[in-house]
Amino acid sequence: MNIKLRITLRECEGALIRLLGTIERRGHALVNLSSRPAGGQSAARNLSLDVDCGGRNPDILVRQIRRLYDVVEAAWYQLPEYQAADAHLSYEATSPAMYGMVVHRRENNAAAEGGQARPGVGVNG
Amino acid sequence: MDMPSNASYLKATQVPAPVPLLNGAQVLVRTLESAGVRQVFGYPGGAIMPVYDALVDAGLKHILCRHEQGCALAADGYARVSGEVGVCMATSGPGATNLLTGIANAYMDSVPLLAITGQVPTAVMGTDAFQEVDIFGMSMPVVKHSFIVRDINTLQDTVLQALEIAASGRPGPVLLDLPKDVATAECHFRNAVVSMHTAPSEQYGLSDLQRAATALRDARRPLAYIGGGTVISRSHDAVRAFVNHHQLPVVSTLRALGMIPTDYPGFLGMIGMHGSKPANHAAQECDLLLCIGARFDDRVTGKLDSFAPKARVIHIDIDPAEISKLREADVSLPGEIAPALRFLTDQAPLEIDHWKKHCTALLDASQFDYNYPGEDIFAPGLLRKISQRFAESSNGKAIISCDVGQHQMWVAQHCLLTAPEHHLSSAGLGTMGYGLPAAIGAQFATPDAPVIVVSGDGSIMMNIQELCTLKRYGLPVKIVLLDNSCLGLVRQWQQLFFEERFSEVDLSDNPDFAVVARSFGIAAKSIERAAEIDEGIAFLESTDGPCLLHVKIDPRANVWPLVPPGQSNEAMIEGCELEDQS
Repeated sequence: MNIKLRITLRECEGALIRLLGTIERRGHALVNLSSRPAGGQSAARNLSLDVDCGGRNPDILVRQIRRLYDVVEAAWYQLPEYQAADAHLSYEATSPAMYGMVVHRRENNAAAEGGQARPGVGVNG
Repeated sequence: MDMPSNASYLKATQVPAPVPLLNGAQVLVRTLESAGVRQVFGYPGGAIMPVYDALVDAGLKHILCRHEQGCALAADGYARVSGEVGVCMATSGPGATNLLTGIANAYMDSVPLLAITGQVPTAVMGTDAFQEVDIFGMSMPVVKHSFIVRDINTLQDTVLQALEIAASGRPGPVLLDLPKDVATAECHFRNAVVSMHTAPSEQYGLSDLQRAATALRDARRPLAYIGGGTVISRSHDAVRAFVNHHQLPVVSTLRALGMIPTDYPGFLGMIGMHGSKPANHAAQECDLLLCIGARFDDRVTGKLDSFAPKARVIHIDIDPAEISKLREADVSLPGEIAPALRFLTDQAPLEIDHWKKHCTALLDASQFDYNYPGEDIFAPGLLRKISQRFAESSNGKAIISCDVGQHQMWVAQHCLLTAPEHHLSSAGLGTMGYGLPAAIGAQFATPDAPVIVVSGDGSIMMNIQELCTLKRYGLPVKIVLLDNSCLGLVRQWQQLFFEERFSEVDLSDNPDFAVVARSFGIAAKSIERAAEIDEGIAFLESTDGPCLLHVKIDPRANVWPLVPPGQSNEAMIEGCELEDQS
């Protein structure tokens, strides 16, 4: 099963590697990753990850991710559910790399509006 | 709860005015002291030399082990017995990598550990400098959390956070990597008040508890399955009160042995691959499995989809990620064990007489026969006798520290264990070489308790250098070395599952262990006949300092019963079945 993970991560040394390592070591495959600053005063990033869980339970993965000290929030969605949640969010580009990501997200939303989800190309923020 | 409570390591550090100017190494040592750390197990080297310089003037006791793996495992043993965070330290590069097995061991068994490593100066990090390894990256899969301290001004807070993370919730190891230039930089030591981000954790509520109570009341064949989480959370009283109140049959994992007194009538023994027949059969027959601080480990369940096939599951664990990880729980209780059990203890006693009688019958039908014909020493009988003698003479305070292999299983099956924290065993990682250094840590934690190592001839060689540590500190640790001149458990598996194609298990070229021990200044004695057992035990009891009893046993001795790997626990086999076939 492919899922979308949405994670808010504190920007600490090793935080991203720890997160990605957890996902892979727990038997899930990372398909896509995008990231943007969480904004506000906090030194945090919002991550959006597409993950292939194979036959494993995404609930357990999210609980394992929540154990990580750098993780502020973590949740997972099945794709249609995710797109519905995502539609309420507005994205503001803060850098050229982030702009690429925003375009990708909007394309996905547009695809969803047309009733057709399609795989995108993630941009690391 | 005896364990330091949450936030206990985040207390303000009281510093007399004026605030002193210290270097990073001094800040580290002072912060550890202020947090209540009493001893550190370590080994010096280049990058961590500033810290060793700071130790010269410190009140903190440093225990010099003879290998960094010994340091980490000793800190592990110290933590398990004391309930405090065990602290170990090593230099960068090989010193740090040598800690890794001990760190992984602590991770697998949820032991609170702080591993401090020296690191090359920040300016040369990433340049393949002498004795540089990325221990931060290497250790990531086996730590609860880790830090590289790059700024002297964050060091004090980071040390306190590291201790707190190691001890809180589900405990585990934390790595703190300290570059040499940070250790020599200066800052003002201050009154630290540390706040920490912690993600909100799931916690059961009243409705969950009520569902659990209903499931328990509706069950006809309920079984408690207790694990290491009950020990870590120091839930002894709550667990014992709960099972007593309902007169509930109980099975235990390796980690929780000793939690339920062996004279409790419903205690069915250890469950799993080398578990007892009553424990495994009861699990297969129960209609409700109450999993308390356990994790459905594969050594417990055997073939997972055939484990406890008729049972609904209530799962209580401080770590929500363990619940439904391997076996879907019908009732999930993420959170503290003791309050949940107290709630369930407040319910009316269960009416399960028929089931209790059945479990008692299972128990009665499988009493172990300690009568062993012949002149050879029968290891299960010897270990039972030693554990009984030391438990009696110490009022139940004796600690047994195991290595890994057949002897580890014999200890679990046959020794009298009076409390789970008196049984040190590398359960999750299965680290050969664990027993001796863990015993050293345990002896420092409880100087007055007798500490007994049960080791094998394979395992003892993994950390035999720590005999020197015993001698150095005059620790009265008693070592019982069961020598079958082979890697017994591997040999047993090759015999049973690899068509007797024995491969690299022969250790008949072992040194004379008594001579080796004496060369370290340790008293030693060898026995090889059953008639010498009493003499051997008397040697252990009468020797004041450290000593080693070298016991030659039959290389063909196997551990029974056994569930073949990957099979259902119902497929449990006993030695006599095989011997009848041969």
